[in-house]
Amino acid sequence: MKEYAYFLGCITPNRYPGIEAATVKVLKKFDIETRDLDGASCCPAPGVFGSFDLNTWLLIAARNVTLADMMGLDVYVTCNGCYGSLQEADHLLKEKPELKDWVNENLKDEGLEYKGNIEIKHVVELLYDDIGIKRLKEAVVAPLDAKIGVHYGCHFLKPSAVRGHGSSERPTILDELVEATGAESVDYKDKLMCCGAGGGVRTRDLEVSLTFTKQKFESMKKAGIDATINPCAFCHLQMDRGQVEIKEKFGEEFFNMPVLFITQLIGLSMGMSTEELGLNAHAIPMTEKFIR
Amino acid sequence: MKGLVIGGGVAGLRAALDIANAGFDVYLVERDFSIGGRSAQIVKSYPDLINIKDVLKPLMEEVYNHGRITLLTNSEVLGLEGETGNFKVKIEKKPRYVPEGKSCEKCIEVCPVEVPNEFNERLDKRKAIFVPFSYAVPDGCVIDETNCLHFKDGSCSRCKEVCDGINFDQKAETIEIDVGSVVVATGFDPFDPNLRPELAYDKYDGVITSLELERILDEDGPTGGKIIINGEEPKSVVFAHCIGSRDKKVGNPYCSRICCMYTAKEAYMLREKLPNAEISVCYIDMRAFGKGCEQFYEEVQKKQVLYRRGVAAEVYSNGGNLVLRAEDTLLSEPYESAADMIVLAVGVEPREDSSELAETLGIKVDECGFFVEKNLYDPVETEKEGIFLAGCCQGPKEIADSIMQGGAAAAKAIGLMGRHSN
Amino acid sequence: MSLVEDIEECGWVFGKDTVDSLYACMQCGKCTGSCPSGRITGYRTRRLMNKVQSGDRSILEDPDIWLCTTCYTCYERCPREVKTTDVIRALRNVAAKEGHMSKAHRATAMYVIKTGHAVPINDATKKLRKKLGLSEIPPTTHKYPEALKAIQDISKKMKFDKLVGFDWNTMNLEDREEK
Repeated sequence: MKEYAYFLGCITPNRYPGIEAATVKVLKKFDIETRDLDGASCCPAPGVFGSFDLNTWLLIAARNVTLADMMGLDVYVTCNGCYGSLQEADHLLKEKPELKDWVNENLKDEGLEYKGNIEIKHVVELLYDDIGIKRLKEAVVAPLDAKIGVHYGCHFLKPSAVRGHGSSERPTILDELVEATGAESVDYKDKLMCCGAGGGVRTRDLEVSLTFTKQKFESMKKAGIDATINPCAFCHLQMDRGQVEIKEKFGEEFFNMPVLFITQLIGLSMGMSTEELGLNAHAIPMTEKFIR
Repeated sequence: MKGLVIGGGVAGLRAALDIANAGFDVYLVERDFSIGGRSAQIVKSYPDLINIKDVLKPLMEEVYNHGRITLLTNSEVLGLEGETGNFKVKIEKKPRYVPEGKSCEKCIEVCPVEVPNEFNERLDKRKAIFVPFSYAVPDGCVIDETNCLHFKDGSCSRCKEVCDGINFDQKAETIEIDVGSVVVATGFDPFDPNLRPELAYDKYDGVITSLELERILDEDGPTGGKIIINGEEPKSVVFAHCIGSRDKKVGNPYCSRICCMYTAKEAYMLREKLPNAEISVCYIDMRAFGKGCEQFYEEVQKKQVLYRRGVAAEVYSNGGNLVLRAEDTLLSEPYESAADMIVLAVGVEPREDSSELAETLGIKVDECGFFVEKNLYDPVETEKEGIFLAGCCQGPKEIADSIMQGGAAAAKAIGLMGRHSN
Repeated sequence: MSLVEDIEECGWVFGKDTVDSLYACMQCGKCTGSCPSGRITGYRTRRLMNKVQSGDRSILEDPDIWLCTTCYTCYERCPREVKTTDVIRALRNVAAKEGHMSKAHRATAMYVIKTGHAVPINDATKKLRKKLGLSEIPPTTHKYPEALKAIQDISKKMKFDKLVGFDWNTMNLEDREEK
């Protein structure tokens, strides 16, 4: 049995708890136990808070990492923003002793000390490395017969030198996970493009941000894709709620494309119900193929 | 005293001939089946559009027929000992299994193995027994033992059934020669564009390298000189400069020096064949520094080849049509350009095994992998006395410069051997 | 202080070398050509690097600098290895310091100071959490007041509250003219 602390972030627990439920359940089926990371906060978003004040960003991120560090558990995330923030902070602190000293000086009053003994993992790494494609395939009881458009999101892959998942131009890790469920991963134009939400753009200029999203959905529709999957709660929100917002902003027809978090798709393939995975709470309803 | 030249491209050929003509015997060692090097794949020179074949073929034949030159093709240098004036060099001579000289080529017809043809940049196929290219020297067929079924599992000897000359029993041999000087002229490798995956070279047939276009432009090439991409003549072509050059991300921080001008030449030749096509070039900075090059660049522009400042950013396909994305940096506007054919102007890289050869010879490579010259004042010498450099193995350069450097290295080798002989 | 020095100061967590990588920009346009934002907005990464190189402070007032989604495509592809995304974030820090922070961004920051989360929980989600068998309140700053206090202490210590214009009396944003 393996044990991890789960860094929830904001969007997962506070908007899409289905991601949380699906993730914890799927991992548990493979003997990976999840522990609460009590008192964690916003990661805080690397492109947003990192753009306002890097000192505040680093300290809050370091505090979150340190909470897990003091539990002695590696931590996993279900949002690329959280991944970006925590892993970048952890990387900087491991690389630069002067930063570590500064952080510890400032966290002292909270009774915290960053030591740097843990690693920040994305749940995709747990699925791919800890569990593995073979075991995931073996666990499939209700294979998906669908064309899936994979959306990687940016901060899962980039900066590649820190993330360590190889080339950010031709990733395959999520496609392999999708295909393990019996579904087909279909290529589409601008597959690796940003969803449009990051860097504070969604907050500041929703229309620009949704234009990214709209372009991606147009490409996916053209490629005959049934649903899109992602590894990121923030992309997930942008792509699910975004479809409603696109209709509101641009007055266009709904794309009506179901949006699933990777563990929700895997959960379906393992025979879990649409409801227990929180899929029926999405803004865009699931289509036939994703109802169990 | 004898000389040694490693590499049978233009630089090595020039060096070998000059040394021989000065009255010294010289060995010319070439790894491939034929001499000629990269230049043999090129159709015309820039800026004067000379047919390379018209220059190269006589040079190759002269080398082959020269009484003082011992040509060792399909051979590699394995080791070097000793010092200037008295080197002992170990060379592996691999067999070609077919006698040199004009052949009837019946063996090619019966050979069942087809593999990509390296000389044509894998755009067509060749057999396991083949003639390297139309004016290869030495002439005649050769057997590529890595693909030949006889050497794989003994299951085939069809070529031998139609040709008595073929001898499967030939064995590689290692010889040792004594030489006074060594000219290293081992050339370069073109950059592998798959290291820039956003340009989708491996994904779409319409994205080709400049060397592939060179083969397509050749009347002796895989398309007989017809410009055909995906079965059709392209209506729009975009050239992309600096692919694998000026690029720290792929470990090549240097300028490859030749791509601006060979692209201009290819654009010129393409314009002659495709008078109505849209042709444009994405460039960062235009480097037309050679004699006559700026004027040639202007001439190409006047042929309505559109130069747009800004490097090629990425390539995607929109339902069969290729689209190149870039920024026009003079307008500060990103744009998308549909193209039937995208030509990646790939840069010059050191040979993959240049570090190994450097170790064998006891010379140095720089941080990019090119061999290092002694200093500014001794530009063809290395730090190891008696070993000289010529051509692209020392750094990217055009054909004319490689020939010049081959001559310079020969002069130095001749001087050295002359001093030792007296 | 020069613009680059300001950026170095705000971006000290990345290190001086990271910020100074911008001097290596050769204006090839790989960044802008690769930029998904630039395709639909006036944001021009290459021009931004050029303006920073030449110390043009007007860039700080340019609303377009806020249209980068930090997707890192330019960062990954830059042939001179300019750490574009880091430079942009540090540059925005300078802009924020000079008061160029949109109301919407200040509001996002306010939520973190107030609740510990940029996107705090709501009643609908609480209900959904319960239905899914999760704790109604997640085990975050939402559940632990002392954890929220830690975030608020950091905000005060880093003067983040001042930067954002957070009023501790009203627990809301101060009125501020948007630059």
